[in-house]
Amino acid sequence: MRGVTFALLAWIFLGLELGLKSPLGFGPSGVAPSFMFVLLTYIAMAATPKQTAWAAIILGVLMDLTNPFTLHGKIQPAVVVGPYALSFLLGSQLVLTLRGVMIRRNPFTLGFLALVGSIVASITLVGVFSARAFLENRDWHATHELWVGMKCSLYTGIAAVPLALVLMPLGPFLGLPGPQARRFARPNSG
Amino acid sequence: MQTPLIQRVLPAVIGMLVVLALGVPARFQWWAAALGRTVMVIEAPLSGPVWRLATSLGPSRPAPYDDATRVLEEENERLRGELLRTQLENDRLRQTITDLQSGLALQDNSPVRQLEASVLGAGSDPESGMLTIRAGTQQGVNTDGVALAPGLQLLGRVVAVSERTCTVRALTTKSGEAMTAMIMVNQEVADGLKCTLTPVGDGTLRGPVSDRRDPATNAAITPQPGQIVRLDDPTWPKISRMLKLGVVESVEPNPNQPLRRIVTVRPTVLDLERISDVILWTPIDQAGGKP
Repeated sequence: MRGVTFALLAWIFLGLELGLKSPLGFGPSGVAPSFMFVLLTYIAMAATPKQTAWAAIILGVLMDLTNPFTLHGKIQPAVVVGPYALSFLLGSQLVLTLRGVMIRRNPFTLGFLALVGSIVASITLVGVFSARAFLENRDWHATHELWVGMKCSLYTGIAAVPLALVLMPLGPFLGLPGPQARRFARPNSG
Repeated sequence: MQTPLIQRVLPAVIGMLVVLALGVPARFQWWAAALGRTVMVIEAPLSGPVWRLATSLGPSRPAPYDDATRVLEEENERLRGELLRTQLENDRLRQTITDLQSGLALQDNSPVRQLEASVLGAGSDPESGMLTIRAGTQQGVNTDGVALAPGLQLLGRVVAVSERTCTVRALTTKSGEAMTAMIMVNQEVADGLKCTLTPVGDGTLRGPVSDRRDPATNAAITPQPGQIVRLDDPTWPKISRMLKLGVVESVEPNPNQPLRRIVTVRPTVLDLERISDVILWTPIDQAGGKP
């Protein structure tokens, strides 16, 4: 995978995440699509497991850094590194597992994999932040966040379908093998 | 990305992330907030225009303002706020003088530096209600400042500042703290019904109203839908006192206290967390900011 192209795509998709996520969301409910997870899903559909893991960590850490939240009784926003990175890592592992039985050329495949991967990522994210409740006092309601996460996953899956039309032609620029390239090739263990 | 060294590093990085995510309190990760602000600056050339475009096309954009009308409305609102703040300050000083019976060094209304700045984006989690604004310490912004939406509607307070950007937490954020406010029964007098408002999560603020009676008739003064609500919270920066929080949308009886009411207040701007430009007010002297 080409690092420069990946960095450029990460910059574009993080820009969309920060600039478009909230305006596309359903009011103040917090239900909005994750553009970064769609990019990760696309990478996980074609890259090697190691490349996918690194992409998940980098994209996840970027999400962590740009996700300030409020701790109870504090004015300064807090930022924690790790929750998104771990959730993206686990979500991408599911995509890696499922990609072998999917038709990768179909844009709906990206939508479906983004949906299921995002569900795993959401559950992990809620789990991590729930575990952090022992560390610090934050207004955190796991059931509500899980429900919001499920709706966000559905929205992410829907948003991934049109994005697939943009991302799929970019495969060669990212240095990722196309859908046909690996059909008869030796499996790349990464 | 595929060198053996990096491959060996991967498990260590994952282990470190697990430790940071599950074992290290946020107060020890202060460096992450600074890194995040740097990332926001790098993203600004893309996220800013995308945000502006999306908020201008979206259904929840604020009502378009004619420039001349907007200037007049804001001037009117600013003067009204100043008048009410002066009245409150006079009341406080009278009380102080009465209490101490001595001449204290008295503060005038603190002058503010006004700055219009664009929104660069929200956090990865829209529910956090954090907006990144293109103005920082270079422009004189500090954490004693507040952000206002068009029409001088209070948007939130500045909670973090870097060299080029600052972070504003919207007052309607679900995780936001309760604030004390005043329902303006009479627009010209800084005397109304005190209430404690908490963000609900749907863009409104809700809370109980203190019981107050008309001295002439002894009848309870009840809030009415449409009345303006202003911030009157000593924990907020001084310059934000008497700024507009919104209008009373509905009034319900308090189920726990039959004599009291619960009001729902909605900001005058349709969706505070999705506006493209804000006005930042920063006190010129520090005394104007500290609560």
